[in-house]
This record gives sequence, C-alpha cells and structure tokens, in this order.
Amino acid sequence: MAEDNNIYNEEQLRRDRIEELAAAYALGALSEDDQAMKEFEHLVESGDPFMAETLESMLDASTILAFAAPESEPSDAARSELLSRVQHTKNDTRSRGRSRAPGFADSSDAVPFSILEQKLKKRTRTLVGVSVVAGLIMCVLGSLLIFRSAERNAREVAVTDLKKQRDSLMVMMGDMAKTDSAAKAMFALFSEKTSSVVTMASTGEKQPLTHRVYFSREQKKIFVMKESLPPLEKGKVYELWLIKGTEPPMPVGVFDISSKQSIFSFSAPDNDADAFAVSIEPDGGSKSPQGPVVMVGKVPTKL
Amino acid sequence: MAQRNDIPSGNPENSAGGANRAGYRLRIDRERSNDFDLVLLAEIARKNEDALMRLYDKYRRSVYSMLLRIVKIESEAEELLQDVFMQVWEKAELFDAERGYFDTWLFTLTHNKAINTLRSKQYKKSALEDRKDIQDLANVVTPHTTQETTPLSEQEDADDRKAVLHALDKIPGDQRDALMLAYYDGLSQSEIAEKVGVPLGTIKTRMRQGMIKLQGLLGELRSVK
Repeated sequence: MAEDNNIYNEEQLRRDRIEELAAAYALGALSEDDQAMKEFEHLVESGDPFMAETLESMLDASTILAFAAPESEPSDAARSELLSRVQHTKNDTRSRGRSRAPGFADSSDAVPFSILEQKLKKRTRTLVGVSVVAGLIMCVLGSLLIFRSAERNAREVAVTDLKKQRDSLMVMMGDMAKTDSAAKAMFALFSEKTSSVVTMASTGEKQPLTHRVYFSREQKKIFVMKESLPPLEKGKVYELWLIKGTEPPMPVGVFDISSKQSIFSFSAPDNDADAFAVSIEPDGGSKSPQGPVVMVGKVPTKL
Repeated sequence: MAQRNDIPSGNPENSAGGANRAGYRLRIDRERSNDFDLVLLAEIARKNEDALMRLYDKYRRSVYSMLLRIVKIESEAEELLQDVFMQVWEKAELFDAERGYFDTWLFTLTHNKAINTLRSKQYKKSALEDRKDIQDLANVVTPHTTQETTPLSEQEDADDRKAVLHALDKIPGDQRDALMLAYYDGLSQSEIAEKVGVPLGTIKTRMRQGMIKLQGLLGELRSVK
C-alpha cells in the first residue's frame, strides 16, 4: 500500500512538473539558457504523451491572454507594404525553396505545430510513401540540431507525432490537384449571403463526434471535409441526407473517407434544408436511411 | 477540440445579454471562424494573395494590439505584423488542422516574434532607451473604456474582449500578475520572482495554477449555455 502511494505520488509530481514547464513555455517564460528549458525540450523530444497533450492545451489557453491587450489599429501603409512584400516573393522564384522574405526572421521564430512541417515540406515535395517517414525522422533530428544553434532567445519545440504528420502531408500533396475546384467552390461559399455552415453532432454515446457540413444555396452544392471521421468496416460508407420539414430524408451522396479526397462535393437535391444527417450505409448508398444515423445538425438561418 | 453535446439552434444573439452573450458567440464563432480560416489557408497555400489579405484584415487588429503591447513602438509593431503574415504566407500549407485552432497557431507565432524582439540586446539598447514614442500600455484597458459606437465587426471584437477581461478577473491577482508579466513583458520566471520579491518556486506555482485556471475559463467560454 505504501509502495502504491509512493508510485502515485511520483507520477503526480511528474505531471505537476510537466504542467509547470508547459505553462512557463506557453507564456514565453523559459529562457534558452535555463536548465528548465533543457528539461522541457527533453520531454518534448521523448514524445511524452502527457507533455504533448498539456502543451497543446496550455498554448490554446494562452490565446485568452492574446485578447487582453489594449486594442490598436495598424496603419493602412502596413497593409500596402505587406501586399508589396508578398508580390515580391511571388516574383522571386528563388524564394520558394527557402522561407525568407525581407525582414523575415529565421527558424528561431518557428512555432509549435509547424516547425517539423516546415522542414518536411521542403524535402518531401517529391517523396512519397515510406521515404517520407525516414525523411521526417531525419528532419526531427536535424531540426533539433539546428534549433539548438538558433539565436539566444529562440524557442523551438519538435512535434513527435510522425505518422500523423506524414499521413496529413500525404493527403494534402496527393490531393491538391483533385480538390482544387472543390476547394475553390467551398471558398466561394463564405462570400455568399445565403450559405450555411452546419455543425453536426453525434447521436450515439459511444464515440462523440462533431463535424461540419457546408451548404451553398447559391451554388446549390453541399461540401463535407474528411476531417477525423472514424473509419468504417469494409462494405460500408457514410451517406449524407438532407432533411426538409416532414418530408422523407433526401439522399445527397456517399463519401468514402478511406479515399484520398479531403473535400467531398455534392449537388444539393433541394435549395433549402432544415437539417442534415449522416448515416452508415452499404457501399453505393441507399435510397432511404437503412443503417444507423451517426450525426445530425440543424441548419442555421445564415452564415 | 471541445466536444459539444447539444446542437446549436436559433439565433445566438437572442441568448442572455452582456458577457454571457459574448461568451456564447465566442464559442460558436470560433468554430465557424476556424472553418473559414482553414479554407483561406488552403487558398494561401496556392499563393492566393486575396486570401492572405482577407486573413490579414480579419486578424490585423488583435495581432497588432498584442505586438504593440509587447514591443511598445508602433513602427516596430507594424514591421513585426508584416513578418507574422509573411510567415503565414510561407507556411500555410504546413498547418495541420487536427492539431488545433488556427488562431492559437497565429497568436503563438506572433507572441514568439514579439518576445524574441523584446529580449534581443540590440532592441533593448537602441529601441527602448530615450524613445519618446514609446506607448505606455502597461495597463490593460477596462471594459468601460471601450467605445460604444463602432462598426459591427469592431463592436463584436470589443464584446469578445469584454468577455475575456471578465473571465481574467476570476483569476487571483497574484497569478494573473505572473501571467501578464511573462506574456506581455517578456520576463522569465526568475526575473518575475526578483521583480515581485517572492521565491522562484512560488512564481512557478502561480504560473502553473494561473494557466490551469485559464484552461478552465477557455472551456467555460466554449461550453454550451
């Protein structure tokens, strides 16, 4: 019993220490020379799941502080200058391989979530499959060496969820051409006055889900992003339904999340809807819902 | 991301007024806002300038306000503002939506740049000494000083800020001071301990407890009313 208490206390102390380090990092209170910074980096590099989870939530919480500053408006000249710099980099093809623009800081200003992707993207543009994983591992190690030699006040964090990053990059790179028109159409939706973003929530208790359906009345199109829907057993697909009043649900279309598509685009069977629903149906879909309904969402009146 | 158990319905503006209404809108709008940001990011990754300028117009006030509060010089803050969005331009395709909200990424990036600038010896030496244009922004503006008549989007930002400031008031003063000294004045834990005159361990505990409370407040701002 005493031994169990000791183990529990040790684990609690370890978690408290992680929270302490993550909080200090999120606030920018760890200096490069600090022993605590070294301890923090070691924990991140080790892939400690509690550190990863705590750091992410601490960084998220720090966004509250971002809203606490007195409100100020930059000059119009700042906007014009930014546009000019962007156009300059577009014209300079050499700047594509290296993220540098006039006044642009080096990797010492890199941010959690994106540091690893920054290195990976440059190397993996022409790489696919297994070689990406090896490149990611090399980049993590290489980037760690580079970050240590960064300027004195830089703060770097390495992302360790390699498989997830690889899959995400693979999807984006492999699917960019296919989703071009779908992405453009979905982008246009946000400028339309009559469009709606429908928040879907799960109907079951086992696995809470949230998702979004994008409904363009103007284009008479419905968009769904793959996001993080759970995979289905073979022979099953997700099917989207449009619900209007007391009429039977209208089938919109099926989407297979095992495909490489990130955005699924459908023609809307009606120009108006009260709600959307998603059910699990056999391959090819059904004319009326047969399988379990996993998500529903009410359509708001405007975007 | 927070999971919701209810399906939002009706007009959010019809719910209870004041800070509660702003908090409800923060939750709804943050999800919707993040969706919008992701679509813009996809376009920025394709080097669409219009998409970048849309994103800039959406976040310029909040990003610039943070930068100015930290570096205290308008010209420097505007330079950093451009640097932030140039970095978004260069790294848009690397943002992983599954890792969290885009605004968290943006504000973390902004904060890093501002603190790095503040801490650089060159900046301290040449920028902060004997400057007459330094903004004295040490005090956080209270809700009472927010303008009453502004364009709708600015009014919504002001309401959101009121909700945040009311939420921050719930954190004990010593914890809040430790957070603000670190976040906005760029002080390390040992520097704060020296400034405030308490042991380093006390500051570490205050920061940890303050941030845990902030996590709870963020959850409240996002929770279903």
